[in-house]
Amino acid sequence: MRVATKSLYQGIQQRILNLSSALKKVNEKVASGKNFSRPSDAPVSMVSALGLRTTLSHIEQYQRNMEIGKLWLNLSETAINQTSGLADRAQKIALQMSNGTQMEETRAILAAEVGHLLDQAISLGNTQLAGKYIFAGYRTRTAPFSRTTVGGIETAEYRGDANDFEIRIGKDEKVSVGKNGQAVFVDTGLFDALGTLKAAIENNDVNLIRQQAGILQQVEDSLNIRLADVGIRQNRLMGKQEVLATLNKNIQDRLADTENIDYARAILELKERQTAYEVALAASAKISELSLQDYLR
Amino acid sequence: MQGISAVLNIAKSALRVQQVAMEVASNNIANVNTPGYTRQTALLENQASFLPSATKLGMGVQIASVVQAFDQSITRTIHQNTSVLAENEAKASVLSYLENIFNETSGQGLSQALNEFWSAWQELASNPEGIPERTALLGKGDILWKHFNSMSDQLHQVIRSMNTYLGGAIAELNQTTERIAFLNEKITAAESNGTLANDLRDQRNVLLEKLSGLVGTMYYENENGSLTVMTSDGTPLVEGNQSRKLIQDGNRIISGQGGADISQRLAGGKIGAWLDIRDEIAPQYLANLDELAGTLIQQVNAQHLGGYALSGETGLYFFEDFVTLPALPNSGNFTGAAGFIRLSSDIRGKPANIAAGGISGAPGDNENALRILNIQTDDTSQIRKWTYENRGANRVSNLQNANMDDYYRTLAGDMGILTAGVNQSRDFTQTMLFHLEEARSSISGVNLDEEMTELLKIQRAYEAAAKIIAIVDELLQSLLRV
Repeated sequence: MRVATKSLYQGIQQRILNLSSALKKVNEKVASGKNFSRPSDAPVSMVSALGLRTTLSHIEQYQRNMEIGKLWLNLSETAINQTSGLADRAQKIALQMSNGTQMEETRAILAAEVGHLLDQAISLGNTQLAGKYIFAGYRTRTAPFSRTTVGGIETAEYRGDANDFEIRIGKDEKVSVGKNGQAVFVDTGLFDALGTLKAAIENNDVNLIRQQAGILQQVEDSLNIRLADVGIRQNRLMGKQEVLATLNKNIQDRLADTENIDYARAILELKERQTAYEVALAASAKISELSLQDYLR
Repeated sequence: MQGISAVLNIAKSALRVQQVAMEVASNNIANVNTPGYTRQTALLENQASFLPSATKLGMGVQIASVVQAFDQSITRTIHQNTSVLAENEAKASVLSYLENIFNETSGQGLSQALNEFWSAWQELASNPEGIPERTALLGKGDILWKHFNSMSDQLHQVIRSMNTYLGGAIAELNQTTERIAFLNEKITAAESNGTLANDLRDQRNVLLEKLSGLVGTMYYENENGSLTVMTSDGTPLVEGNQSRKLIQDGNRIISGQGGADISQRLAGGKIGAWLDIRDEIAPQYLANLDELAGTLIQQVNAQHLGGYALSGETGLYFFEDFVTLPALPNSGNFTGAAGFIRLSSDIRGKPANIAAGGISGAPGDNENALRILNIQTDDTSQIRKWTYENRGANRVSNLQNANMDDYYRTLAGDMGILTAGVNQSRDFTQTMLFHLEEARSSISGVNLDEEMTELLKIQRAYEAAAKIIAIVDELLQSLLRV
């Protein structure tokens, strides 16, 4: 084939340009550590990387939500546990008093203790997390329990609402981390039992005291059931946390696989391209030296 | 005439013809790097004797013609591919800008803004009464709608700038067709005596190649040597010594005064590429971005309206509500939504007005925030996806079941695939054109070594002819000495 002198040089130019553009691409990869820097470099990988990033952002958010949920549940656990202890102490007092003959003085002291127990129970019902009352339903800004007297019996009044505070821990998964005070405390009959017991001790009504001992046992049992319920939800969160932690790691690995280059391969490729470029330059220099003119002297 | 003086005449013709041949070779060498130059060769022929003679000897040498080494079919293929390459190059260069608008590889794009917006809702759901969380959500909302606005702005700018590009290309096209018409006239005149106007043809070919880069063309040569040129859809550009101008009028391109709009039909070259971007590619992405923004406004507002602010107020908008029909964007037509979207005056600067509560304004009520979060992962929501064809003459929309994250991801992916495709055909056409040009050069291009050899050959012939004259001179002298 005839080769025009111009196309000889154009060929050299074109090939060197191609090689240097390929060299630039590999160089970019190695420098950035990424497989692609614009959508058209690898559209499919980019779309899947975007999906992975969104999933990752969901997971991280669920993980944060669960941290908050754990705070709520741990605090609930402590409060219910202590309340259950109060009920236990009150029941012991009731049993002690149901034996009948007690000194007037002892009765007064124990009645006062039961009164204190009621105060403590109310204060536990008003447990706060970062300024929020956790047993108030949605009315987290108002103390849900306050002392009141109904028909001459001291008890607590609930001013929260009947809602539970829920957090999201998955796409269609929610868990209630803040049960309302009505369900946790009022419904067990704790406050009424304490108030009634106090009045019964003051009036030395042994039958009523005996009856309250039985009721307080039931109250304690109910509180323990609620405690177990908190435990179940804590376990659920912990289980979910483990799953999400594994998932998070897996997705980060996959994201790295999609986005990040394999350095060993990229550097090998860079070396190859470099060599090809150098060889092309050397060959071009040789070719352009050739001319018939050199031989016509 | 015969005898010694005939030999002298033959030698004289040889000297003259070799000089012309040397001129041709020298001219080839001189134009070794001239773009569009076609190698020329002097065709020599024996000068036949016109006298009746028994021997029928020739009377020397003469130049039959100087011809170009020109291959019509390769040249035509080159023009076609020039058109395709210019189209792909122009498209690729605009697309590389467009794909940057949709560039999500750095983790700074709209996708990220959407993620952060939803995360802010999550934070609010975990602490519905928190003013810091509410303020953060307003901040993320601001970032999100501003991102939509700026993408919409950039797409609009691309569309507008295409008309400026087209204006330049059309001016260049008109200038080129005018020059071709002018050369047509000169070529017809120069060739009327039967010789070939090689250099003028070279010039015309260069112009034709330039024209092909501007728009797809068809052409044929008439018997008188003039070229009739049309666009690939048959709109005449040059006939004989007349060129027909294209005129840009707003979005319209018309051929000659009072003609019809041909902007839908012009294909190939830079003009075709820019029309594709202006009327098809950029508007389609803009329409889909509008759908996404409109869906976001509609779905978030629908849920937000039913919720309660901390004050207990309800019926508040999160994003500015759509305008009323027939103005755009409205609840049935989201055109322009990406440029329209912004926070409503109900909540702008009033974080307490974010309706996180589902049943009351109670500080711990997060029900509505949780419901709004369902939008993020709701795969059953339907979003329209537009496809523009035939420069926007056919606009088809299909309902897609996708959440907004997925919808946007597909959009960004489509852009990447489109750009990669155009880049690929650009590189392919480039390689092909390179090989075609090599093929053309191998026929039409000048090879210096070849010309050098040619010169040597001519030099020897010239020397031999001179030698003949010297011998004839000797012969004559020996005659004179007799």
